[in-house]
Amino acid sequence: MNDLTAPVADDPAEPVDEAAALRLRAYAGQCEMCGAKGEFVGTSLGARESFPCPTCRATLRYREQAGAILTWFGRGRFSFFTRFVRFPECQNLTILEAAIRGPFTRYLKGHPGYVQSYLFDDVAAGDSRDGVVCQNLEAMTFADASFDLVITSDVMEHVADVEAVVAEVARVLKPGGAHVFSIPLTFPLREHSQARARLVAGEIEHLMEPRYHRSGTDTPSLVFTDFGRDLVDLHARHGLRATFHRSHPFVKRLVHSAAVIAVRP
Amino acid sequence: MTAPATTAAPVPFDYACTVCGQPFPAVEFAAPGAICGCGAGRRTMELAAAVLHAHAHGIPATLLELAEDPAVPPPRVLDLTLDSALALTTPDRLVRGDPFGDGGPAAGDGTDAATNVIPVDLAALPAGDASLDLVLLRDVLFWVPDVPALFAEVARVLAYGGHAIFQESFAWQFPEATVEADPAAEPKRRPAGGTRKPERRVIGADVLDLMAAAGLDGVGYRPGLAVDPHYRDLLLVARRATRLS
Repeated sequence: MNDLTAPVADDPAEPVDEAAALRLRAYAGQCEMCGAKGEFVGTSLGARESFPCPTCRATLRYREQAGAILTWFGRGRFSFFTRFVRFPECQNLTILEAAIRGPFTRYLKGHPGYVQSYLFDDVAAGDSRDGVVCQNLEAMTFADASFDLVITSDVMEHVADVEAVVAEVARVLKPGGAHVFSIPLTFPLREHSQARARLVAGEIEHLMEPRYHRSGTDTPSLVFTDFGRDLVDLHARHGLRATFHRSHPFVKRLVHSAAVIAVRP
Repeated sequence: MTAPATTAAPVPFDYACTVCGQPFPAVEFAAPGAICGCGAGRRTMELAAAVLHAHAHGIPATLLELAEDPAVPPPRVLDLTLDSALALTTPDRLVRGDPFGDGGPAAGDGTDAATNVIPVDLAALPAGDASLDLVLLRDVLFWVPDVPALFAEVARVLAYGGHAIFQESFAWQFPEATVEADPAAEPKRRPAGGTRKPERRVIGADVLDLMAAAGLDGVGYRPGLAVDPHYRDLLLVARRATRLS
């Protein structure tokens, strides 16, 4: 069993920043989020945060999540998410998204089975603020088998106890349900996930140079884990089958970018 | 001093073959026949992408990487596509068959399919129960006489957790319900082989329900969706359910 909280001895070198190399590189295609057809052009933000849709502005990582959702729930019938949302295949789903902004929050607004959550500092677990329910993903208040789809976008790398979150997601997913999430990934994937920090008696212990991303409330959010291919094993321990879903398997520089879909059989 | 504003036009990415990883110009992805030096054409590359997605959790980027990955056991494969992509990378555990029964092996998608192909009856696949990790089929669902029987036979030979991949062609959108074709209609041309089979039906998403009834969890996988504004292709990826309903 791989221990996600343990430092890894054979720490690979930091990946080369490819942002500059991707700037003004482009491909022609269609947006899996809104269906717009056009040219997707790299900016200076790196691959995942770049290549915005010329119409809806969804970046690569959100579109990859949309592609994974269409694969698992769309029965091969839908080319883009905003169309899928209007049909029973989506309207009949119960969906939890741990986010307060992003394209899915916009397009799922008004969906009858959509629940938004966020971990507020000053709201009790299970209570809501502005329609968003406060939830700690490590200990959710939802009943077992509550959701068909759980969406998290660049959240999993920020949780202190990944194992607890995966166990909780497995618990709240219905059979046949799936967790579709984005995380920073570098291919070829490292063998073992690597803890950058951990909680010890409630205090953060940094195991590597601290790295922060911007949170949903624009505050710095510490990265606890750099993930590797043992993400598959981690999910298997909780009865989920995880797959790295590539939306651009033929584009040479984007083949190493993927969303993750973890399915409860 | 202010840097001058750039007026540079975006530069198209190269594409890469999902069989061997070799790059090729993006414009060639729309071309018929072989694209890559390894012999793979577009349909071969889409099939390879589906194999990587299904069998290897999407971790390797090419079949060549899959073959060299010590963490992924080589799959036991029954390949009925008449396409030699898998023969390039998993030759030792591969059985290749021709399910069309109309005159021997044909060239598949620009690849060399001239050797080691056995005739195969889709009603009695040449494999023992739960003995295979992958069964690959191409352009069979529109003509096979009994679709539920085919799914049951595929489920029989697949090991638990194994996958079947059906690569099918569609003229337009994948419909919800299967439509039985006009018996008087002209037979549909089999794109890869140059032979003809009667078009018994236009399949719809309800074939996934037939798969489920056979113990196969199926999804519609469309690996070229993001890079082709006019994408019409679909692979049905079915996993032998570990717990039958």
